Amino acid sequence: MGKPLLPDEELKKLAIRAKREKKALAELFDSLFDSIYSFFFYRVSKPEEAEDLTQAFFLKMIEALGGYRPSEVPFMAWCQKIARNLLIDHYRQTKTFYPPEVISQLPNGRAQKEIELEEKRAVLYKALKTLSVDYQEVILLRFLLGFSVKETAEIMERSVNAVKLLQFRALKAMRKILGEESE
Amino acid sequence: MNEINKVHQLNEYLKKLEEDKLGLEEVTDQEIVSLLKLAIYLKENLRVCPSPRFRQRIKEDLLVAWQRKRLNQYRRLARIIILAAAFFFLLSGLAIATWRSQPGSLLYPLKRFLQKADGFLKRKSFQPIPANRGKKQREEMGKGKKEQKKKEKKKRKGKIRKKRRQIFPPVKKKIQPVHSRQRKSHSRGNRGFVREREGEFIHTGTDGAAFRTDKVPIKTTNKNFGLKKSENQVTP
Repeated sequence: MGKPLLPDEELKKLAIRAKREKKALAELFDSLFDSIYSFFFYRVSKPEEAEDLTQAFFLKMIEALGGYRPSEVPFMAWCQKIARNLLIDHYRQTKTFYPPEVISQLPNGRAQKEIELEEKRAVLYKALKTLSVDYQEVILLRFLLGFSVKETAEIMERSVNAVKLLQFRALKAMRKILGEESE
Repeated sequence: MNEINKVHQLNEYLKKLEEDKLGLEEVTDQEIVSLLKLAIYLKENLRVCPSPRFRQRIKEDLLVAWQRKRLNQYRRLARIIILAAAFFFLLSGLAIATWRSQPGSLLYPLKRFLQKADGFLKRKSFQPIPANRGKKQREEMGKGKKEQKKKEKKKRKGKIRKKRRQIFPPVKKKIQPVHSRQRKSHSRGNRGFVREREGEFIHTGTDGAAFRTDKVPIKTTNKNFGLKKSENQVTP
């Protein structure tokens, strides 16, 4: 299990130090890795694709880090821009959405608790995949990456009220799908 | 409760949940409670952890890429410094060679051009012009010109006179006859002559016409009309 996502101020400091210090870059990587991977995992059809995109993301981040200037915008929002651009490129190249293969990816010999967790994720994955792209994005940005409504609105280039409405409807749709599956 | 109110309410509750200021028991609306529960569930379970091996591999790749990038930055910097130094030496060498060049060498035209350009740039006309400078200068120049013209005219006249004297040397003035002399005319105020003829003194004007005759000679004055004393004496 990776490290939890650090607060925004610390992430910004790490990003500035990471321009020169290898250690700071390693810390930044540890903090970001799970969130970024998870974001890609739910937005593409195969885990391998998510891995490739994660790798591409960090390479791009190194290139862009030289020109990074800390501002009022959260560091994760800056990362999110890179991730979104990569996703768009990926969608353009593949143009396909495969059914999820999460359960088949489960490794053998894991603890019962871990297997249960993986099963939960597989169900979530399936439910998320049935939602529209906007609903998926708002759920991932709000509940996976932890952005506020205002930040989510900036990233999605929508108004705050529109994001609130999207969030409400996405949760409703998700509840409906999960309820149907449990039945 | 309509949808818009629920949207805002849900958002408020989510905010409070993030700050740990809300218990689900406080919420009365069952729909919102179920949505809040789903949100908590998503927060806890959405995060996916890839295999540690994959994590390690990506991390190593990242650090290698970072090192390579830093190295490239240093290389680029070193290249720029070397190029700048080479350019500086080349330019200074060229400048020295140009300065020492002699007529006939390849760089001599460049040297001449630079000298001309230098002279052009050092011209006074490039200096800032003070207020009223033009007017004053023009006035000074005008004065100077007039004086110069006068001088030139004088010189020219002097030369002409010299030449004339060379060609036509000055003839000595004829000495007036002893009995004839210049004097002021009594009647007209003009200069006239007095001539003696047969014991009478004839007064004539400048045109030579006689206008009076006297038997008594006129008084001589102290003025010497360019004649010697002996010559100025009037014979009775």
